[in-house]
Amino acid sequence: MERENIFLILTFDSTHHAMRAESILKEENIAIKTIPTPRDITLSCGLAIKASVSDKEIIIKMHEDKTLDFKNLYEVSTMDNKRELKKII
Amino acid sequence: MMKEIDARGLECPKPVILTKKELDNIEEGKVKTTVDNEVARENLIKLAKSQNADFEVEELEGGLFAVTIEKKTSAETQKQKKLVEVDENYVIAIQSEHMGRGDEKLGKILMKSFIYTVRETKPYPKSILFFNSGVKLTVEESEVLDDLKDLENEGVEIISCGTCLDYFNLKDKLGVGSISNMYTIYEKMRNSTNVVTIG
Repeated sequence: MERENIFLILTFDSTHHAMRAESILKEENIAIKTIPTPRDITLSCGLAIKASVSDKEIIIKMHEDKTLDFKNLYEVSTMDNKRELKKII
Repeated sequence: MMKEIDARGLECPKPVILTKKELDNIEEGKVKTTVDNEVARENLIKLAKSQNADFEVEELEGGLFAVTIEKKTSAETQKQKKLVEVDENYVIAIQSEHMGRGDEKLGKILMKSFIYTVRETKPYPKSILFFNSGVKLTVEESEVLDDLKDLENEGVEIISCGTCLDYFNLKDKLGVGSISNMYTIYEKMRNSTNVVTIG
């Protein structure tokens, strides 16, 4: 996965949820990375999934179809050491 | 000024010794060494890195490699060193593809998460050593390959145990860093007072 200035973060209720989502997204060939949940996102388990903004639509659709279970979806943008966190779901 | 060394057919560690001798002899300039095997090529790259020198590798016909190492005056090297944010006294040793014991699936995911965090946090370690099943993290199909490549580009030495790669039949699958032996692994540990072991 490329290092981007804007990316998505999916958060979960538990480590098991995060691991299940990881394998579902991988099966769909969506490029993701399992990372420690960024410190500025609280109220979530320690693992999060980082995904590319270009997959935003499909991830939202999978969430609506209930094929993918996550707690929140954030869009993170970084510029000159400043971070902006936008909650999408 | 370019000095050329023909080290074809020479046994390890001869090519490195000859190259180091030439580098020690000059104040500044380039030394180009031609070798006929990958181990010699990797050893020359290691030499360049250990001297904080710029290097260039060319693949020539007939399985030959030419490694050009550029020695700069110490003032220039000093300037370059400052740009890299590496803690010279900090080494991470990764002894397994899992972080911690208890559950392997969880261990794998924690390891990915750990390496991502190392990549996101400065200063970087001087070296990261991989041994036993830890070497599965430095091969082509590794899920943390991009993080490790980024770290290498930032000046972190990524070193994998050759015996271990060989044991897992992964010797020709190395995706990042260099292959090394127990002497180097021990040397890296001994030269640092802050070795953190993960695995």
